[in-house]
Amino acid sequence: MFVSRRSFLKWPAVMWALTRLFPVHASEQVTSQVTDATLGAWFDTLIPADETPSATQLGVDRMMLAVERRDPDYRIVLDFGRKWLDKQARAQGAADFAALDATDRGAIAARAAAAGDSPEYYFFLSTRDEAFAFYYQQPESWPGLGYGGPPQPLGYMDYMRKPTNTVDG
Amino acid sequence: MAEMSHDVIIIGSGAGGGAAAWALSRRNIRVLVLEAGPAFDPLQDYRLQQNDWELTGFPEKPGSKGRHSYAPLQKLEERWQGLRSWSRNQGITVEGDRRAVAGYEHVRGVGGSTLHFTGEAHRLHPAAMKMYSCFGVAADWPFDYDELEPYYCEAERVIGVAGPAVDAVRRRSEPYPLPPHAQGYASRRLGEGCRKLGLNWVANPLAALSESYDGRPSCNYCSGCTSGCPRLDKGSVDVTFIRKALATGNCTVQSSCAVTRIEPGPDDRVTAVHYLDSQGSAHKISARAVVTACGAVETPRLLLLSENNHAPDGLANESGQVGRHFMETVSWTSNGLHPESLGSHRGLPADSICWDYNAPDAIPGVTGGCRFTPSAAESGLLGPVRYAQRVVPGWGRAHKAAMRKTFGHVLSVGAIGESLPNPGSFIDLDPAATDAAGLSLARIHSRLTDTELRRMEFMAGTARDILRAAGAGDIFEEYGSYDRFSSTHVFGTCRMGDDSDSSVVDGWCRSHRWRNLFIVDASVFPSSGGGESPSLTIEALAIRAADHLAQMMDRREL
Repeated sequence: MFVSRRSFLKWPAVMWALTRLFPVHASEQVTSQVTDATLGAWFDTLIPADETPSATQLGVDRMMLAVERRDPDYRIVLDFGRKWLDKQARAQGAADFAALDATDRGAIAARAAAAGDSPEYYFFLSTRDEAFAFYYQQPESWPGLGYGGPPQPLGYMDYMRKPTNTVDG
Repeated sequence: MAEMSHDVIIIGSGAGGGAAAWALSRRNIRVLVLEAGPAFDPLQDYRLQQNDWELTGFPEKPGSKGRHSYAPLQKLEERWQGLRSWSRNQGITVEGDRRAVAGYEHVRGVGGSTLHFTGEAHRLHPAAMKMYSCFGVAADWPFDYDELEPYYCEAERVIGVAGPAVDAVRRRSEPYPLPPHAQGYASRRLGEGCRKLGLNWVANPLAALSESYDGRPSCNYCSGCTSGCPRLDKGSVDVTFIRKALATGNCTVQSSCAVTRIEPGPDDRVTAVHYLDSQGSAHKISARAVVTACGAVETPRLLLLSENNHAPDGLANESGQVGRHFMETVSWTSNGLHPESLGSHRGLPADSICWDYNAPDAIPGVTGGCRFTPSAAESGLLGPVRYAQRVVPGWGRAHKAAMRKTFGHVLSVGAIGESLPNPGSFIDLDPAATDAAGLSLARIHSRLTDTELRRMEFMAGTARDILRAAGAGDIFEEYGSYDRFSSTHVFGTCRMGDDSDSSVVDGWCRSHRWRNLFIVDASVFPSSGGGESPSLTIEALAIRAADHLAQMMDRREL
């Protein structure tokens, strides 16, 4: 019930639009320094550092690029995202997305999130869910959540009691 | 010439096959169990100790998912718009105007789908076994609850079921082997909501050990049952019936062996079983009796594939009923947020239950019952990954802050209801899709009638009412089986009955015609029950059928 990379790729209309607008050739290398910086800035926009590390500090960008290398279809998605993000940045006079400050990057993310039925919206949804998956499986992301780690081997023998170390809303 | 080194061949090692293997082997009957899927090693294969446990769920191994196909599903209608699946983060989650396929959720492996079940160990409501005579729908079981009751007790003892002392509806001749589990902190919130609505919220009978039992440790309430229990306290068939069957020395289990057909012979007997082993080598074996227990999708497929000149319409299909009367999982889930931190990722997945609408006539204006349980675990909302993706909207610093305020706050109510048979729901052989051996896949035809959808509407409304009454009216996600076929429990495709013209097997689960052929899975259910999980009933039926088979062998009738 969430937009995974796989479910993203099941939307034929989206894939058709992406491949028509942003064809990727098999020989094309898409993991240059510049494009990596764009994606790194994107993931740190989705998951910035605060009390816990940012996405790139936990290697989310490297994990996504590893997926991209294994999965040619996902490469289309990420390559679309890189180009779209940099295009938005250049329209604001910046060299690329990574050159923007956090406020401007956030404004672009907000546009993607509100874009409705469009490639940038599905790029946002897909990378958001993938980034969260990579980020929140790492122990460095857990402080403050009230989550102590995998369910086993300790289980939750306190399951009958009010939880401790949590923040009530 | 087929080799014959066993008395009985059992096809499938899930609830029915495992229970039958135990019931036969304890009587010194030599049993061979052929399982199409792999064996799982709970300590090696299950991942609840790993940081990425949320992403892996129940592990997949080669061959652990059967393949099947779907006929086009029904169009969605404006009048049932309130039953569409949706989430706050995504809006409507099923695109288009036609019902989608989420899937037949099952495990093919030693232990079958009990490997990933939540452990619910339910007895059927007695009235749900008389749906035709009392309500004019489905079909009656050829015996009543009291006939099955001693076998329920046996199954509960083998498993180590923990349940409440009192059950006003389902007569018990002896108490559960173990006391019930205490209700969790989050479940008690739902119980408070139920009480405000005048509903009862009681301990759910579970195949999870509340005390150490039979050499297995008690549960430590990790809530991860659906990902596979590495402690062995969950009473899945591999660690209960199969383990005990193997201990007799009379049972052999061969995993990764896919049966391709059962051979009908002269004299109304099946004469051989053909299967492919893990290397793809073909084998033909014989026994005095054959028991199929492949579930309500694969059992009719196997019978239909087993046609020959002795059974031109498929094995045991003299009535034309094989594959008919398919019943599925009619379900609804509502997920909301409670303002208090509840730690709802802890505990047993479904430690409590509301049976108030379980009787066939309990829902006003709709025939067929339903039940309600906590459902955060079955919704997969037990760890931070899914919270980040599904529960907390947005991104950035605000998302991280909201994660810290939200984790453990989900309250979830799931409902499962009766599924009545209709002519549009059945299993047949797909003429266009085949497996690796070139055999036609089972094709699922599913249609939900207005009766099912009105029942689902009641289930959805009541689930929302319970959440609101429990203080979790901030509902962020709902999904059900109206707009996406999603079934864990399937029934009915080899109906049991007294009349050979309208059923496939008799009251002992034996084919009306084929004297040494038995079926012991939920395909024989004449009705589904009002949302009860079926594994315990399958096990009770299988033990009863196996006892009968053993008596026939003693009398040399097989």
